[in-house]
Amino acid sequence: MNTLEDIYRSSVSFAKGLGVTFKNFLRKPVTLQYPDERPVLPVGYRGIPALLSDKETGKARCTACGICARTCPLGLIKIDSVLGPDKKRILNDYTLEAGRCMVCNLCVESCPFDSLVMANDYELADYDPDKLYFHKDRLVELGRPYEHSDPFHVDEPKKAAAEAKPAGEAKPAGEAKPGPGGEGA
Amino acid sequence: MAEIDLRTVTGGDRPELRDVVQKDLHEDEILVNMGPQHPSTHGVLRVVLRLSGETIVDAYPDIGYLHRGVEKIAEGWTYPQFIPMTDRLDYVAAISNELTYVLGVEKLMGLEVPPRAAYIRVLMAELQRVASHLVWLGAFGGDMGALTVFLYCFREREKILDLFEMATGARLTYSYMRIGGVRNDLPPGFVEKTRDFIKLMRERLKEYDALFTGNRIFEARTKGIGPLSAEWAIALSAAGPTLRGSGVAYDVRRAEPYLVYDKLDFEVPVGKNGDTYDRYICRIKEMHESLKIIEQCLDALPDGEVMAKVPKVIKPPEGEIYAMTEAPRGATGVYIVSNGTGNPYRLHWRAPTFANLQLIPDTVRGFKIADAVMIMGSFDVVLGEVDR
Repeated sequence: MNTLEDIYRSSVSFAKGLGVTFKNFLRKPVTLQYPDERPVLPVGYRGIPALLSDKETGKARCTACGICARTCPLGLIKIDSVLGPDKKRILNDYTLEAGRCMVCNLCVESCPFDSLVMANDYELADYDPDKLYFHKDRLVELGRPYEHSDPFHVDEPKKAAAEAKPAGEAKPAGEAKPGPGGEGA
Repeated sequence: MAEIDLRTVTGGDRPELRDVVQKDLHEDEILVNMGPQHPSTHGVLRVVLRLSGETIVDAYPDIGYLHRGVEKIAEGWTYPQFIPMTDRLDYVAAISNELTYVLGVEKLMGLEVPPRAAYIRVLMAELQRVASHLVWLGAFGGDMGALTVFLYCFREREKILDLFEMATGARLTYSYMRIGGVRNDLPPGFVEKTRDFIKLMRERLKEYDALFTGNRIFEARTKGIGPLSAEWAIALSAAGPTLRGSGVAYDVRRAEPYLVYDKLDFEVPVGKNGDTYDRYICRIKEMHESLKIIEQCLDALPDGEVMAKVPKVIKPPEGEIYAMTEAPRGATGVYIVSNGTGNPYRLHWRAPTFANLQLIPDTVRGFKIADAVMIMGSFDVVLGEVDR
């Protein structure tokens, strides 16, 4: 009797399992045929840090202050600059050792001049290790499609509020306060 | 010329290990290396098994193959710089590590996070728990030879990774938590997508249940295998589902609530016998509970800021603290000693799987090699965290 019950229980459990397998057999495959098909990257995807440039002049916005270089945990950013005639630093070269970059976003967050951005590019491998030192021109090129370092523009209402305050308008600041976070809720 | 003993595998080993494993080796016994490159040890764990036939007489775990000196690195880096490094400890549950670390630093500084940030943190940590348990379930099935469930689990985990990618911009090493809050607010559409995911996940969990729970082969492979008594689990400071599977209802979320866990309604599933089957049941139930918590967080998500007012340079006052959270693998803790500068003076990481790993010799003794694979799998060891 016990054996019979056991056989019955086993067969039911196997049938149940096979039922699940069959159900999944009929489902569409989820595999993305990668080199032929590309994933749709979400806004704010972190690929590689890149330099933002001025839309009018096309030059990098970077002021060579060096805060990003100090923030980088691995010290991968090297900034080469000279002191200009008006005591402003002129950026000669901006080197990022992309091969070691762990894309932690700390440099982008630290930048007080909004001149760094996380670019979406991800196929950056190279046969020559020297080419993994990204210099200014390449970083500017990578950052060309972006306008703002914050992908969600979270800072914008805050900035608008800060600008509105000196003009003595308290109300717009109050309206702007909830921010885009409210949309998500 | 020295005589070579073919029953041993420890030729170039350091004397501490070699002498221990070869001590009183009976002539019927042989030593076999399991790992460090063994598919069922889930990483670079090496276990030297002392076998009599196919039965395990004793086991000696050998760790350190993934040692990177993370605790020492922390001393040379500033507090915010260490956040991305915590991702690399338990890389299957990166958010939980970040959370532990930032909670520690916040405790040291006396910072209060805004309510929205607290809810987002809990939401992310629970999503991570589901993702981590899915990896475990898939790998556990794989250990047993049931590769089907591996594919299903990773398919669902992909959905969670998509959610993470949307909110944090990365898929594995998120770097999302910040001292004083979270890096950015949830993107538009995240809440709806998460709700859809919860609905889907509840259905899929039923499917996993049909595949495993009640399956005759699964029960034969797991029930009564690797029993762990509650006393022994407590004595060796086991954590997480390994501890709860033995019937000890200890969960840091309940015992010492952090963030908003005291406002949330969830249960702490416990097992009875402490065998591999109970640990499996605990994890499956935990996934259900996590989905419940995520739903509550989405409902209660308040508006407002996601970052507290934090000074530009983070210099916690002198002192030392210990902060603990319930990561998917158990109670993860961080001990930070500050001397008032921008770098931690000393940082210690309490890894739950390091404690769970000690249980291997006692639980596998007397079982067959194939069972040892299941038992080790049921502890859910992640070597990135063990070796640090």
